[in-house]
Amino acid sequence: MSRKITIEPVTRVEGHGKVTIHLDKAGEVSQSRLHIVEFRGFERFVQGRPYWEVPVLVQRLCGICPVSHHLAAAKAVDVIAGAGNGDGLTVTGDKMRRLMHYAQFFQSHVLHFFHLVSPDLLLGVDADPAIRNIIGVALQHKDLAVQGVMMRKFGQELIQATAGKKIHGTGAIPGGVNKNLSIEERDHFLKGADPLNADKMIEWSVAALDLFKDYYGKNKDMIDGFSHFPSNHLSLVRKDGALDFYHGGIRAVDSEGNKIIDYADYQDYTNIIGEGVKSWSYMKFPYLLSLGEEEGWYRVGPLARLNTCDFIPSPLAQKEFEIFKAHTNGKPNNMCMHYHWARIIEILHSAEVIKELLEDPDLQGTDLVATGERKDEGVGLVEAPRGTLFHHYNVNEDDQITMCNLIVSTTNNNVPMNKAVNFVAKAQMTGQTEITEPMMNMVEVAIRAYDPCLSCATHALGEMPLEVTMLDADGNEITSRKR
Amino acid sequence: MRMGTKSLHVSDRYDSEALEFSAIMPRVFVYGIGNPGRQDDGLGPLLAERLEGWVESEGLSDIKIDANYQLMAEDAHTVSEHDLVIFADASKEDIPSYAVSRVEATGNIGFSTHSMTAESVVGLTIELYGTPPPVYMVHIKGYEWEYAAEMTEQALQNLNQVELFIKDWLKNPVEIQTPITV
Repeated sequence: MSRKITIEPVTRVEGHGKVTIHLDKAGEVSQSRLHIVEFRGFERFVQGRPYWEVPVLVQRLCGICPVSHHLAAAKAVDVIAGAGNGDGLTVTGDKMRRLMHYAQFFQSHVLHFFHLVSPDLLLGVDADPAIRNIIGVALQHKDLAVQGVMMRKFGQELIQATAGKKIHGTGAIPGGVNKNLSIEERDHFLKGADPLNADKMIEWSVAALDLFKDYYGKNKDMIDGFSHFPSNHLSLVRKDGALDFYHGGIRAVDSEGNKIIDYADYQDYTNIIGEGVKSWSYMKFPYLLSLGEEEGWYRVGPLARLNTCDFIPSPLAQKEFEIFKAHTNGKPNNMCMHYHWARIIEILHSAEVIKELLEDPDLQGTDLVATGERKDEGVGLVEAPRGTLFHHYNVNEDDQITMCNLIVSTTNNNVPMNKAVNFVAKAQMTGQTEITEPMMNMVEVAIRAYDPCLSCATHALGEMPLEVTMLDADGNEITSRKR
Repeated sequence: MRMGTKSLHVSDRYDSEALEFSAIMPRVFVYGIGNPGRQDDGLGPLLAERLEGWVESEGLSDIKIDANYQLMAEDAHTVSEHDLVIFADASKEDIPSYAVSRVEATGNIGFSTHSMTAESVVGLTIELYGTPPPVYMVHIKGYEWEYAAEMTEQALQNLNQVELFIKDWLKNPVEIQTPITV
């Protein structure tokens, strides 16, 4: 009798995911699928709106990473406003946006590490989910939990200072920004009382890396062996090959590090990326057109970025990058759990860049907006915390949006997340007749490595239970488990 | 609407230098939660926006008003810095216009979520910073949640009622008995 196991982290206002694991008659895992319901209504909603509204409008998409959408959209409308393709902004405009973006990276990655991953590391992936959370960490490692809270607060306050407000920030506008950073604001973040200053953020980022490396030293087999498989990797890189979260050209490498695409202009992304569809999922499956749908899928996000870039342009993160690269002899790292390692290196890099920018007097400049010859089409890409984010708009002669296409980071990671779940399912569930808590934990851990934004909802408060249902070939429930 | 009140204990939350002042003016935090780009989901932030101007005009400088898309771990620190905390959020629950409940701590946090419940924020406050102040959740009934800024007429009427209730409360910021349903 063939069976289907369903793991369903259920509903938010829009966007939810579930996992189905199909067993064949012999009890072997034959196929696993991660279904994420992606709400596509926004692309229709934005049509007819003036293009200059888009950087604010897109923040309706997601309360988790609104700054990423804000900046990707702003970069697209820069092109339409004639302010160039990432190279036409004023110095102050460019650096203010970068400060906002690196603050977003910092606080987003901190949330993931301290809130979602540190419970796995400190309490064990097999620990009871009821205590395997930030409160469980607080009970046993109070100092670390306080660090996580204060690092988040620092990042959020910096976003507010650069974007103007926490909700629907207005900092980035077509061709630039609407404010600079005052001396008072600069000093608040640069020289603020402990712990809310840039130096302390760097110190705590190093400590977070040490924590991970210590855990890794004791659990190397698990970290290396958990859901590893070769893939292509894709991200933006700076022209000299440096890691750059805000701007660059598209680079893709294969699992051996051979360059498939190097510094391609993302205005031309439709000739680089295809968007496949599957009958069983609303979410698209992006791939490199040059390799085709079967072979051209890729990873994005922290692991992919450290696999595509040549170096990290900040001293402490560069040292950690060298250690990270040495682990795979300079070749791309294809180990799923190493996303966490890469993510913490990016936390450190973000903290270093934030300090460097805060010390830069260009942030107090007053030339904020660039203008130029208007165009009818614009594409904006940024590296969002979860990976490469694409925004594409066409406008008519009345400045109204006529077409919008978005490829969000989680969509770019659709295939690898499916493969990660399949890897774990085959290891954990083959031949099993019962769904155990450890099995569910393993599926969670595999998905969590990619930090997917399964829900862009901002209304429902934190409810995302995990439900596993086992069905027979006729769709009848055999057993279910819920947490 | 209120079934009973209790004065806030503020003195043990301040150092001695601030004692005299703080005993008169408890530090109050009102936090609107939601996405204003999602119709009635913006009820919490809109309430915060309305209260911000009112607080300024009334000279209530010890009342801090803020808003965000959702509650996060760092809000535990903010809660710990106040004597009374009022969260306000749109609600899909089966309530008439609005409801007020006391937020009790919990350690239960959902799988892979990027936001926290009010209960888990209070739980985290306890673990990191000790006894929390009284924390309340004001649930404002909402109806539509699409990509639009315009709220439903009924939701705005509910908001008007809540606004009167909160303003009355903030003029005399004390603990109240819950639940309240209006």
